[in-house]
Amino acid sequence: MVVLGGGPAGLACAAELAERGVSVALLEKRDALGGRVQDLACKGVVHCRQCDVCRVHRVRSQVLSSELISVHTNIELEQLERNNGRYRFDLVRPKDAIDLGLCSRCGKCVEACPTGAMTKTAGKIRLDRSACRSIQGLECERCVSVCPVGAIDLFGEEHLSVNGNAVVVSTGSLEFPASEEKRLGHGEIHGVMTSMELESFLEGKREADLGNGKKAAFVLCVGSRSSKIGTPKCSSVCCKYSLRQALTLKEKFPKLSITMFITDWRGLSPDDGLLKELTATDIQVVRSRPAEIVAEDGRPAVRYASDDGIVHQGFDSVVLSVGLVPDLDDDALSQLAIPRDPWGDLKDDHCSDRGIFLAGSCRGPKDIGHCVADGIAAAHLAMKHLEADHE
Amino acid sequence: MSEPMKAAVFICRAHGANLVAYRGLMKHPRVGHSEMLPTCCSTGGRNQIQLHLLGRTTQALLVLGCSVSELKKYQDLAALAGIPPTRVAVVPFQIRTAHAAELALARVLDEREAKFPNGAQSDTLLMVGDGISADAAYDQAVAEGLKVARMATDDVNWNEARLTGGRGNFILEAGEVMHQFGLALLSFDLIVEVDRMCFGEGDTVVALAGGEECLHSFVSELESALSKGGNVYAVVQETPFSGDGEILYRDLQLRGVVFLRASEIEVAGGSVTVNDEHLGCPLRIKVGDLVTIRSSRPEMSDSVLEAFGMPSSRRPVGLVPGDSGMPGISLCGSAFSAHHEGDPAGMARATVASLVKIISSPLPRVPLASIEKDRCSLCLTCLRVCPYGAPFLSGGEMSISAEKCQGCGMCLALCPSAAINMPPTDLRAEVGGTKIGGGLK
Repeated sequence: MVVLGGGPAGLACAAELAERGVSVALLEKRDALGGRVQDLACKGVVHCRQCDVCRVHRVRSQVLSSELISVHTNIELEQLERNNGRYRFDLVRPKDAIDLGLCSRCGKCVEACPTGAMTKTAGKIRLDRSACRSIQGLECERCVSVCPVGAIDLFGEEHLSVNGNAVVVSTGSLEFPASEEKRLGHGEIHGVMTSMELESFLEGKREADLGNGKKAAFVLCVGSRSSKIGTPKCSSVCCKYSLRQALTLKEKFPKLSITMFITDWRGLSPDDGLLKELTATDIQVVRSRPAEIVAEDGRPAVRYASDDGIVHQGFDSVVLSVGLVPDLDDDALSQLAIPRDPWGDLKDDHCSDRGIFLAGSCRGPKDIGHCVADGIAAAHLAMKHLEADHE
Repeated sequence: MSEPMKAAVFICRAHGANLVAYRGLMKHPRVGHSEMLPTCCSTGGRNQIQLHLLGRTTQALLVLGCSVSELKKYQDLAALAGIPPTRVAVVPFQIRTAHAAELALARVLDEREAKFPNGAQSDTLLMVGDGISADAAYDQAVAEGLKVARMATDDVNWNEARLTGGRGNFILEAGEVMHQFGLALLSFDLIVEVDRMCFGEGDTVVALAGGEECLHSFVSELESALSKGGNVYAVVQETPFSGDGEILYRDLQLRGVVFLRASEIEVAGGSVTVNDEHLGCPLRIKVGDLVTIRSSRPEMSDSVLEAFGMPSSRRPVGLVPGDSGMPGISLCGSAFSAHHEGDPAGMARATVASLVKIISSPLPRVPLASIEKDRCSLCLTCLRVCPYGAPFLSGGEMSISAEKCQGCGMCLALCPSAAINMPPTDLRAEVGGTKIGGGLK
């Protein structure tokens, strides 16, 4: 079996298949497993709000400890072939830049590196690929020229190929790029951030203008429920995560004033714990989709329609709750020729006859819990297919 | 003892056994003979097995990938070769994990006396509840080959029900009813009710009091109202259209359904008054048909949950599908979470799949770690270090509780007089058992 994508659905599917004795190759584009969950923070430090983030970390360690699952990260698809019902994926991935067999650990490259991408830790030289100028396409290669033994090859590639009787596609979705929505000023106005950036603030990886006595706003349905930009579907996640984020912020900074601009609550039943928790706080909820965000004295100001006419209100921070949009340029998906529905999400149209199964948010926006359940369900379908194949 | 006991392993291919999972077991040092047969449960297959057993090179028999109902026949075969029935096991074809096969092998080769009689541990799954989730879970459980006892909610007077025991040997007593089971699955679905009131000529109002579980009825009521003609009003608290539902919502709006937001409607003399605060003034509709859709939790669900030791204020744990936070009890449908589940049948199947993993790594029937009383110096190191509180002191001797021991091996590593024994198979098996979703919790 080949599982494409190591997000919640892919991990759950691979774990389920391995548990049933099927050997699985898990292919992931990024350099670590977990998909978007890697960037999410736990939103229930004091008491659990069921954001399901920890759930994925548990499935991931299960996958990594399984003997039947071989994980290939950082890979790119070169070629895909189908022969007699079997799929062959020819993959390429960047080789380790430093040949540890040749490296004499002299440290000259560390001194020569202008960005500090080369580091020497525990006697080993390491390269942080994201900070390397050469890999970013700038001219540099100073480390290559100073290395006395020629152990550095920044652009080396490794080829490998993976075979499978069936493929589970769990490539997931993308978060809506908020800067595409020009009227909300993301990337232009200081203090406007996306919900993903807020997640890294909650994890302590980023600074933000949030704290006691400050004013913050959440703008929901960014890039979803719009026929102009993003997807016309409801993202089915942004109500729930924004509410958790707001409640977590309130817990952290009790004197932070929070306003949430919502269209309506989706995916939450009226007697839901999160909504009950919301009414117990002084978080303001405004049913309005803000028209624009403009800069005012270096702070963002939100212009929106309300019962009292047009309101122009300033905040210290505005969080844009971005939705999920389909990934339209994935090479593997176009090579597998999986049909899409009119909104760009993958459609399970007789794909299973060809041994292709879909799982997770590539089939339409889904939250983590549903992705995990979907991955398990896909594993069951795939098992049935393999058994039928066997006979 | 001179030579360790060895087992004969036969793989039956008649039921589509999973060969990959069993490959590792073939090389196990305590497997004396392994053979793959096109079918084990035919006369030909049984003759083959008997032929081998009569050679008396192995002292136990393990059949992989056959059906459980054949166990009796294999035990009879083994008895002819002088192998007791406890040394014969079948790993049913529905359970496909290598882990289950290893455990079964350890069980047939176990030389220690069983501390509990075999009957004390039950592997029956008790299912309580009805609805889509419960039906899907039941079908899946039967397909996976579990022993299932199904019970409707009103079979028992839950107020006097009392649950005793723990995972593996629960006993539920309620008046004259007594159930003995190893695992429980509680499953309820939200009940969707549709009320229709007809006032004669006029517009149609469809009022929704409930969440996304009502979506299907809500949309079909709106569709039939649209086909009847006249104006159609939908009164909602929150629109139940998350995810792909947005497409439906837009479509219904374009086809003329007017959505109003209000938490209450007033019905008086053939007209309905809706106070949508966004309109600024109440809207009076001359109503022909008034349809109300509401959902409710099954009446008994709270008292059932309470009988199983879960107060109604419990928050879902949400790590493993169906995890209730209580060992041995799983939940699905609305018993698991108040959130509406988009695919209740799929979730129920996932829950049962995780239950299969729990059953396939059963509770040990003998203590995993045991203490050699002669060597024990009563230093109480094991008592201090055990993370599960399994060792206990009684009558001046240390013992290890079979129920509590998880086979982690901490005491084994730290005992200064090396008085603790644990078979290596158990050590590995139970570390596997505490693996995520792997069962022992």
